[in-house]
Amino acid sequence: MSLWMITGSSTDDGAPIYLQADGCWSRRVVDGEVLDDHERRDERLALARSGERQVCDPYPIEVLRGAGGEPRPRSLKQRIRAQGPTVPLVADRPRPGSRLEGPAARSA
Amino acid sequence: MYQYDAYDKAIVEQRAAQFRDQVARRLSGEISEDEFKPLRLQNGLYMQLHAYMLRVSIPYGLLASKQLRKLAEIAEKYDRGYGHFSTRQNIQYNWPRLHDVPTILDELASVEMHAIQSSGNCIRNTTSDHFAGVSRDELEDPRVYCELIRQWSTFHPEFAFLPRKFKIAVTGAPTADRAAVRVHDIGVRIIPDPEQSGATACQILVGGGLGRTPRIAEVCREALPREHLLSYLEAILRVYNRHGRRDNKYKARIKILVGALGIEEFRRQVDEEWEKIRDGVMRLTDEEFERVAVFFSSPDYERFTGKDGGPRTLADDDLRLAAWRLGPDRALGRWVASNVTPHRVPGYAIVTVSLKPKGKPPGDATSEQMELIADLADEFGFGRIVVTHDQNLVLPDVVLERLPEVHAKLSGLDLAEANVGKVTDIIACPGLDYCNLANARSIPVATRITEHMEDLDYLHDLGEISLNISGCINACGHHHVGNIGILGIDKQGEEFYQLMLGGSSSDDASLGKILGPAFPSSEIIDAVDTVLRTYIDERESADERFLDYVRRAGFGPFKARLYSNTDKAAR
Repeated sequence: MSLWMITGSSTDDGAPIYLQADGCWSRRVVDGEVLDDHERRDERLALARSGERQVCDPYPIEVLRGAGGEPRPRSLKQRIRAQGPTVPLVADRPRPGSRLEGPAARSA
Repeated sequence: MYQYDAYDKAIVEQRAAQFRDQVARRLSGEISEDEFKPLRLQNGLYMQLHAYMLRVSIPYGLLASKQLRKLAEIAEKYDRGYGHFSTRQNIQYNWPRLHDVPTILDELASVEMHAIQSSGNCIRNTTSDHFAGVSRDELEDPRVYCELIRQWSTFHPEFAFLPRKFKIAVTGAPTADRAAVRVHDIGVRIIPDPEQSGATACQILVGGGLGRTPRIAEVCREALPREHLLSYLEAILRVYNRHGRRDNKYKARIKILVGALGIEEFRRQVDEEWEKIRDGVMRLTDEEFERVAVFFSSPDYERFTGKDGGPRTLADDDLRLAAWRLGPDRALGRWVASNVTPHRVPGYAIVTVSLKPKGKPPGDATSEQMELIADLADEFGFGRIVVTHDQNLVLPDVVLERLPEVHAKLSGLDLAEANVGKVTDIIACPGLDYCNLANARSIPVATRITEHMEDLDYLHDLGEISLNISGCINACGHHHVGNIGILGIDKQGEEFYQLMLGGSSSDDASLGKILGPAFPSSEIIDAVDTVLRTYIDERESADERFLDYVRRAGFGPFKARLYSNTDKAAR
């Protein structure tokens, strides 16, 4: 059975964000709502698209459940997107701070 | 170098102010992402995997030290302390916040820089020879032509919405193409004028490119008088703008049109258009040419004394460089051998600063490194730095006798890797670690190759080899024109890599061909190693370059070693 999650990029800084069950966005893929049927997926996508001040170009991705039930993206691209580059950065400064406020600011 | 006039200054500042308003409206929700996207792209702002990416134009790769310091400052204040130098001689910031981008554009404007036309279906940053103005094999300084093209193409009202992006490169070294002009939409070669002894003309190449349909450019005009350069380029762009395909983005580049029409018919249409405009306002008078050329006049080079008390000569320089190359300090010797190029002025040398240290992403530089290079440019040269299309930086005017000091200072910040032109001087796109379009990672393959090449004597014995890596068929890593090309592909969710051999982007331009079935990520480094060892074992002598060996011997010796195992052959 396919599982999905709705993701998009934060308008503020372009970071990947994931739609939670409460309708807010999180920067952690484990917080995202896992969807197991097409209708629900399309409903949530429509909801995401209605909030495009906060999110850019939302779309569904396929996810899997890990051993502990935690969701993780099925594709390598989405796993890299969720976890960051797989090579160390030449300079390790923190990411410029987010200006997001409220629930969407819940980040790792 | 060129300095903005009041017009340049005004349009750059106005564009930054305009974008500030557009960003504010996007952040407030007044405009949607669909509405905002074309606006941000016109200002070089992309959306990548993890963040926005801002691409800043560096016209023909030339930077003043104060501009490089500003780029370092932006990396430090608004990004994560580094920037990525690209194959278009630009710099990319991978982590800016949208809110900060207008301020970044203001900061750039304060040092006569911008991000205009670094994205979108318009004429992009014109690139050039990174040794422009200083190399011994140059016929004429191409930067004057590049600047004229920049002024003509910036905000050109006819060419803001071309069928697809459009890239122009210019070289002034007719026998040493370092600008890859044959794989550009238009390549301009400054050549001796066949009609007039001592004069120069422009050979115009058209229809080259990489991507999913790689193609070597063809000659559209054999010898164009320079006064007609802009009108002729305009005629080419008009034909392309009128007939280039807009129904399919994969067939929209000019190379497809040239291929479909054939070069004869394309040339006929260009000539027909050109006849209407050739003697109009775009004709470059000598005065107009001089207006721009004066910005590229030679700096005030010191006149050094040679060994015999007379003026120092180029032969003196060559002897000095040879002595260092063979001297007891092997680190300095290797660096001089690979990273230092003779200068056209006695007493000076061209230093290429490698941005390809072992295990680091090709083309990345930290803000500290950028500041150091700017300081070196001021202390040892004339405050100039050039970005190369193969993702290194050049100090074009280093006082030759001070090379050991420069080497020591560069070594202190991991900037003295002696590998320019060697197989670890890898061109790599950002790949799947950053790019939304990529299918596979490029950077880890590059870093694994550089880490694998531990034996520096072996590296230098391999000689001149280019190795280019792209993470998808769009070929931002120029894999088709690497002597060794690597293309990352996605096979049922797994990263695989195709190996290509035989590519070149220089005067002997050629497109590499796929060697055989692709290798999984776990085997690609060993495959590259096997290719190199095959060459070492089979070449006629150390004087036979890798590319010459491939062209002479073909793929047989490589395939025999790479695919001898039946399991691999069946892959």
